[in-house]
Amino acid sequence: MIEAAIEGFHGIFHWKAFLLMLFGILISSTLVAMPGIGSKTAIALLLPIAFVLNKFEAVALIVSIWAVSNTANSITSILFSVPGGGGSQATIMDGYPMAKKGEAARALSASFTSSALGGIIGAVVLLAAIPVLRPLVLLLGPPEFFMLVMIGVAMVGALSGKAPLKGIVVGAFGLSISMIGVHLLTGIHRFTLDQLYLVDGIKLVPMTIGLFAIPEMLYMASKGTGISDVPLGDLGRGRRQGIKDAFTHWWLIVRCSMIGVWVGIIPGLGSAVADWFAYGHAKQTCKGARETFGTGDVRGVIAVDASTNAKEGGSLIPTLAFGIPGSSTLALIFGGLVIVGITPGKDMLTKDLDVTFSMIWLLLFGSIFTSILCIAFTRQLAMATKLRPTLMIPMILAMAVIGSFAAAGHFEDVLVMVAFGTFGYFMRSAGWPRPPMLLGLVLGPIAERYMWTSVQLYGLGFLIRPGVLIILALLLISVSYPALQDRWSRRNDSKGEA
Amino acid sequence: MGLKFQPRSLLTVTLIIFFIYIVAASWDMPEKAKLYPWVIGLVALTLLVFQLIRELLPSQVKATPATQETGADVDFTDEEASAAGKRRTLELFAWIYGFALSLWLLGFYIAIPVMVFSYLLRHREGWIITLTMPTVAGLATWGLFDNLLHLPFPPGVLFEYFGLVS
Repeated sequence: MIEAAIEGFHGIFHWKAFLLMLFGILISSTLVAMPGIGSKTAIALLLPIAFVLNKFEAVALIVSIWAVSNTANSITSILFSVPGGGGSQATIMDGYPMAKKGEAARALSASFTSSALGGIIGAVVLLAAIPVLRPLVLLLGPPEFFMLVMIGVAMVGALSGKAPLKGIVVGAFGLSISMIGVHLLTGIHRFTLDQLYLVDGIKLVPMTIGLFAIPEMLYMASKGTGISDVPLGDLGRGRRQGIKDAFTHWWLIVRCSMIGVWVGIIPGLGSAVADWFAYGHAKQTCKGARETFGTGDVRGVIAVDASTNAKEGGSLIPTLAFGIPGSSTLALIFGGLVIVGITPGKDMLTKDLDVTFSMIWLLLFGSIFTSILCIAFTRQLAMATKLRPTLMIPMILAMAVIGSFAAAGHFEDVLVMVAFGTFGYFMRSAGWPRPPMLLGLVLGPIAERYMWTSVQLYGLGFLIRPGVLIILALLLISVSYPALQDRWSRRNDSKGEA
Repeated sequence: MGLKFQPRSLLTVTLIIFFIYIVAASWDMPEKAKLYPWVIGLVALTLLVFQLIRELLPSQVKATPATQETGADVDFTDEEASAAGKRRTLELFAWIYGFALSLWLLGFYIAIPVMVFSYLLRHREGWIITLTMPTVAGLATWGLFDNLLHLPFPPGVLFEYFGLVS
């Protein structure tokens, strides 16, 4: 095993593989960071190059694009409230308000540092998990997976601040939106209104861009000033403060990284779930978070970015152990591995263990290199918040339509983005939270599949399986904890006044 | 105790109608396909009716002013609720819908630089910026997305109508 680790290390630090890794990181930090252009697009475009590379070079190029994409995705989330990718939606919640307050440099460097630390933790967990992979995942069946998804839905309450009922309804609305399209179990068209476009369902990217970017643009326009109308202050200090923040909240990083790793292990759940899980967890457990989260609390940024990067290490666990890609991007990476003669699955834990280790080293060093690169350019990124809205709005609008269209190449996606933008504005004006809708859309198909499989296998008896009951207890704690925390803090306050 | 309907309750009513549709439309579906929509739809409808009653009660009507905070989620500011804020919002909505229409009529290559140019012109930006930014936007659309990423932008329907594209 140690020999394989050394061989994997040498493999990716050979000059040619190393340069390809840096190229992958550069692509990931620039192109992939743009809204609507995910790591899938970049990997798909570069996949043919793998034919002329050896196995370590191919891994260095392809895996580096995927491994660090979450780090750079936070840039547009923090600066423009436009998520750069699926895993950076929750970064908006506190990153963007920080940018508005003139703390863009602090938010960005906290994000990059926690992202690096999350990536390192994810890689270390993956390393430690290799010997115990198989029994861990085989312990769980569809009922337990269903309950795990329900924990995600329960987080909706925590994400909804002072309007938990509205939050649950919006979450249900997202779940319902996810039902639109072909029902995979029966093949029938559900809620498609006889429209061909709706057969594929509503896509996450245009809906996200619409729900968040359009209302923020409207806010910017109505205010008549840039993202931040307060001085940026000492950017160097903000950058140092952000790095310091990440290390100060190291325990939050460890906890959220573990959440990310766990989400990564469950096939089908991706970064778009890990970020909200971590955000909900931080909001429930951090002191005073229920008042400060959503208004520019650096802990909200740290929690999210640590988890999304750590998730990548976790998602490799089922990929390596069972040959089940943890995400659609990993399925593409499978293609790259097959091109260079590697079969994903148990071979990667036996005869191709050196390649597995090279992927772990990439996760580790890629995270560090990307964060250093991004931190080095924090000043330039933070200056963007001082731009006048008249310059920002047309560019963001252009990015929003291209991002919406780029996801699938359908013009209707642009219309969906505009429609959800309008809806998002009215939600904001009527005091309805928007994030639970995204969570519902992401979790909907997974929840339905696990629920139906559980009913088929065990009838309603699936609800009394030991694993389900344990997760149910965790779910109840998760739902009731914020209310209990409120009650305790009120009781403490009244005691203090007395 | 009288009930008072507020404009913001329109969203609640819209959601009620949506969930009624979800439950009703799945009525004739096979059990596999309708179980999940029913569970979600009926739970949401129950909560929405409760929410509507809360909104209609006079005590709740008084307790819903625009907030001062500027968080990324639910806060709606007084600036946005003011007459000037609403006028600017309405104008930007016109830009967004106009832009979507021009994308459909003219295609991405023309609509994007034209939108950027006219927006900057409308807001009286300097000539250097007004000419540079649309050029950069147009070149990025064509060079990066079309040539490099091979993103197939559809041509505008006007060009198709007049037979200017194959």
